[in-house]
Amino acid sequence: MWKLVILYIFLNVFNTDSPIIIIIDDCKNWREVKLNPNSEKYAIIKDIPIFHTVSLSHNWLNDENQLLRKTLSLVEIKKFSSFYSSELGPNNWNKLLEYSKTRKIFILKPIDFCSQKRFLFNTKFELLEVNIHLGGDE
Amino acid sequence: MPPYYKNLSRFGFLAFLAFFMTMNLLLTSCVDEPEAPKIELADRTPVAKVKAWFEENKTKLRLPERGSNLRTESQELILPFFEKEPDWDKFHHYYFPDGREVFEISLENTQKFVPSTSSDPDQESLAKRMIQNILFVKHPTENRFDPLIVRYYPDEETSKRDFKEINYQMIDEKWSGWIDLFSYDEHYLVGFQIEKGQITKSRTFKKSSPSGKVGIGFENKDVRCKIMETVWINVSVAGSTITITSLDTTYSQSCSIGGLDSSTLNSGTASNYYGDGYTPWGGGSTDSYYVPDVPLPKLTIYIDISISSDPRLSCIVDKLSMAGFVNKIADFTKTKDISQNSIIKLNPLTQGVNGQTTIKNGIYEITINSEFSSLNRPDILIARTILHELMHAEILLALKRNGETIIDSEFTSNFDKSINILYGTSNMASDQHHKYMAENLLLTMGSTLMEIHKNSFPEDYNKLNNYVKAQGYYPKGVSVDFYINLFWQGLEGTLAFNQMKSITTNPPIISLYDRFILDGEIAKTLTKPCGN
Repeated sequence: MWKLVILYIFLNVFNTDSPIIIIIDDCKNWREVKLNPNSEKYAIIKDIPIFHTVSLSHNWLNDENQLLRKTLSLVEIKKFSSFYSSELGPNNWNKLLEYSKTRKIFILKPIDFCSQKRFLFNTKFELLEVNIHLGGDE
Repeated sequence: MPPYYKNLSRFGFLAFLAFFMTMNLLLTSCVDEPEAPKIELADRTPVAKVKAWFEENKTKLRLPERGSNLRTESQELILPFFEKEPDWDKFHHYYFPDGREVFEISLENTQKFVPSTSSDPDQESLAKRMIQNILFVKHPTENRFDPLIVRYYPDEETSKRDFKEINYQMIDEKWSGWIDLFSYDEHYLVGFQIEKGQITKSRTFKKSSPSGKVGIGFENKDVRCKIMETVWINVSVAGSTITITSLDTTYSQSCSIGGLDSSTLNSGTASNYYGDGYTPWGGGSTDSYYVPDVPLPKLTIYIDISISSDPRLSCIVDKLSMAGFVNKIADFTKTKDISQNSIIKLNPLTQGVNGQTTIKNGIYEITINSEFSSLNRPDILIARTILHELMHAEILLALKRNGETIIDSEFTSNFDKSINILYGTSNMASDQHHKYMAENLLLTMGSTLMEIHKNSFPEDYNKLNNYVKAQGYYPKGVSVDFYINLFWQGLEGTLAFNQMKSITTNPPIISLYDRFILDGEIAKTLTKPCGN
């Protein structure tokens, strides 16, 4: 947790407009939403305490709202502010949601991180820009 | 130096001439010219139309004689008729939930009828605090108004209200007493007991004790109905002189709203309570008067400043309040008066809560979370949250009214069923409201949200419709199922939700749960037409 606190300070003070990357490392906890397989859209959802769910959506209705993609190696990813999803609790997700007002959020998909590709030297990963959505009680 | 006039006599003549012409003009204009056309500015206010109609038709507003009345053999209570004198300056103007226009006008008459029972024999003070009004209900298709007499009998001095403080669709949460409806010519129709703003009982009157098996003052074994001897009193006030005349003895049968036969609880309108003495007169000739169907008294939701000062939330609430179903269960008002029994506000709530409904001092408080995680959602999802909370408020109200609600004619049994199913399961702590919603209200809620989306956010709706068709999610266009799935989100954890989740399918058939996840994901991409 202390790492996250330091990262928050770092994110707030020194790095106010660079993207944030979330590495989805707790792959089994995420469920892929069954979007049209022929589209380039993608979304995953996970159960979390307090909010019920957190979802990360690389999804849009109109092309003018299309989200970005980036291709980076793990080494390059580490140069950005990055988090492992397994370390994020409800408060962290809520904080990231607030950061998303000013900073783009990218994810490294679980299918990529939890595969052999991670161990291959200088492999490039495709990162997807996502919107964060938190559920809630009603 | 003062000005010097060389020729004063000429100036005096001119002044005299001017004076003469002015006086002539004034005098001649005061002469009545009988042949001169007179122009009257017609009073075109809506109430003037009602007045004009009433003046023209008041002699026809008598129900057909049925050969008997209170004073002969009839079981029906018919009080003596007196000419009604509406005070046209004192009126309420509102609409019933079905859209019919209503004018409720104070009666100036000094003659009042009050029911007197052994438990409340003080007719004089009751007559002083009671209010009697005449309702003019605009016929939906014909050019006429159907009048009804409504009498408010407050229980105590604390429930005494001025004319402007109470009307048939504006009963405040502190008011207790009886509201009785009569036809224009004083046929008794139905009465409702209100306790602190909630309908608790309905009553009818008969000339003799209903059925031989029930005695006076005896509580029926059915527990929910009670027979009571009631003497109707005619109280006339002329200056300081009060004349009290006993009319006849009748027997009121009052029943808990939840205790009425379920067949009478089918549409939430007062006519369902008119009872076996009620006959829907007229309906054929346009000349005949018939007793209009009226809804149950309804309460209002006050839009707190926290919502009304927030352009986006205010816009969403406005759009929501235009939906037909929402209109049936709630009136939204930005005017804070004593009539509101509910309040909607925007405030910070605990993390992870989009909205909540609580009861505070008898007021149903709907709160929308002002935190970013809650508000950073498309407008339609915020509308969903408000509608969901509105359902909580209506369920709370229905429970207080012993099951009487417009949302479900069989609320009592359906709600009980929802609770009973929980017995023997590990889900005892589950929210009963959510369980009831999941089993009974999803279609209504989904249809309402779809109506709001389609009519109030048409651009957003069209984008969605085009998208789901193009992607093959809903090849024929978005359906109510999509909106029902949005409501499942607030119902997670209920037995119904878990049952839905457990249903599996074989590909390519998508399971209900996957469809719920998919529709929820699509909804997140919708927009904020009411602004950020």
